[in-house]
Amino acid sequence: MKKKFYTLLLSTLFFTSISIASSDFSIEEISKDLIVFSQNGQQGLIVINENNSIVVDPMSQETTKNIQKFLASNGKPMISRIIYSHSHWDRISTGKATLNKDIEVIAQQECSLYLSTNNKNVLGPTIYFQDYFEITDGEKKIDLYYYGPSHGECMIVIHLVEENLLFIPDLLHTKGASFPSDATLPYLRPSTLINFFNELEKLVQKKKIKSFIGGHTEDKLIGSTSIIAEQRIFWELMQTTAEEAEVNGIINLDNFIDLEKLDLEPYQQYDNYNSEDLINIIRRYTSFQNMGR
Amino acid sequence: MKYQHIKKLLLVLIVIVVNGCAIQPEPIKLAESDTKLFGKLKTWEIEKISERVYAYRYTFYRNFFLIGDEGVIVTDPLTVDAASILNKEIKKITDKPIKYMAYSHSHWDHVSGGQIFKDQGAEVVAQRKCKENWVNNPNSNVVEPDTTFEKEYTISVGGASLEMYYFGPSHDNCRVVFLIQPDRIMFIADDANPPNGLNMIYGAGLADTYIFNLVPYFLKAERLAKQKRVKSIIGSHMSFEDRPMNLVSGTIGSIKSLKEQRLFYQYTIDAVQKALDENIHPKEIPNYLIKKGVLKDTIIGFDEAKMQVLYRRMTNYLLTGE
Repeated sequence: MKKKFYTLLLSTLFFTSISIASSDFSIEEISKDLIVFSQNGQQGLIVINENNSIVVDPMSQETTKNIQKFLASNGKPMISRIIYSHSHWDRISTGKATLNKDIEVIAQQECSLYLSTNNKNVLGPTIYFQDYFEITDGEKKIDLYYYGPSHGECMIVIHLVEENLLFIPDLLHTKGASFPSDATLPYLRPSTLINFFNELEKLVQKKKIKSFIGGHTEDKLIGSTSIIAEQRIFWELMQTTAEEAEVNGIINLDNFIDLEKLDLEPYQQYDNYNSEDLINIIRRYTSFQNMGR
Repeated sequence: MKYQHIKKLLLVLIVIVVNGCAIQPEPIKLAESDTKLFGKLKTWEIEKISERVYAYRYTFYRNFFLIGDEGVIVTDPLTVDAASILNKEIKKITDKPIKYMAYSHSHWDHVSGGQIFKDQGAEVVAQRKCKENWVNNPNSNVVEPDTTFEKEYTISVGGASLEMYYFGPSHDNCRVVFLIQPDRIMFIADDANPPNGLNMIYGAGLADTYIFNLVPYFLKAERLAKQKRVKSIIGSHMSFEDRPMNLVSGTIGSIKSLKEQRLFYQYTIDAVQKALDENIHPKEIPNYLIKKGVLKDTIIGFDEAKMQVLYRRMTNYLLTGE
């Protein structure tokens, strides 16, 4: 019954939007115990249980304080657990003094490579897991899955079981498959990326998951999981283009492609397309072809 | 008393001269291809650096091999074609067996083609994480290692040995510092190419580079060089002098390239950090730094298009830690 309620809720995209006055911090209630918060264009989750609240990607010290204010003013339990979707500081710099020292911080094992270095604003994880981690709290269940390096070394996929909803930051946009926001692809792991998408598609199929929330604010808060396959196809297209460009000899000494010798139509259909970005992406993929990494 | 002062001063001067102006080995060309690369340089060449140490350049890439009393150590086979040529040339120099093949890191463009050495019984050695990379993304041209190690490993062939040091991720997650003994020559694949460590880098996007550990990695390498009294470094790539199109072989040069390479990374990180501290919007940082001419006179072959990408990459690093 509850699942039907959420399905209906998600399909009508009906949310309560509340703004907190002090900054551009805002929240949208997907339900009374699942909240999407956003600040400076990035968004994370608050999962509220009877006795505690769980935050996914608390972003910054300012955002963390805003979350705490929101919870306190609404009589909700305070934060007792934090989940890091990955290691990037711009999503997890809560400031060490902001939170209770007993807080549980959960991250995938490979994040330790980046989080063991001393960043005074990042709380070190108290729990590292390898491939799968389950959080059960009353009726609430959150599953964390790791499918290998994708966007950075340790990004995970978060499944909110009750709502049957995924949280996937940085690799997907709710508007559809698109060019990445940074075409230099600083964190992309081409050698394992397609496997990440394949495993994600298997999870979606197995758990019959219809919707996901992304890590950045967009016009649509919720996207269809059909976008996962579409985005995989985009990356496969980039890889194939680089392979063919090598074979056809249209890569210069600096490893850049000659776009004039390429039919651009298949790329132009994607959101956020521009030719300079395409050149940079293919540069990364020709490097991948050469190096295997 | 006065005499003692003069003696001390002389000693200091000698140390400065010996350290600063160490005479570099003069490579002797032993063999080269008939074909040319871009009409200027030969496609490949073999150079003798010392009685035990030889360098092999194939296109823009270079490896080295050591000949000891008991056999040969080869490094990075590069490609199937490159390894085949190298194998033939080694046979012309010595009839000693190929005992080892050591990999510098995991990138296929350096480590393909080793089967020809494996077939002769060479023991293949690499840092542990390299093997993981090849298991995760196999390449039929890359021979997997027989022996892996974590931090340090040495292979010897009687009178010549290769020390390998792993200082954490840097350019890929498993690159090691090679130290050739007893010649005290270093080799760090894809970085610190003589004659200038401050040359504009090839891949400004720093793909597969663990920036957070670059400076610490080079500091450890510098410490090792000092401790082992290393004076020379072999370049894993052809290099350039004063401007990018002025290509030079860069076979071997002063160990100063090692420090310069560290400074290259340090300077670019510091420049971006300074701009962030000045509250320049992250997206504006590359244009801001280029407009101000930051590092224009420091980086040899400064290329604005590449610096755009490099500054962007360093900005991302400072914001995310990766």
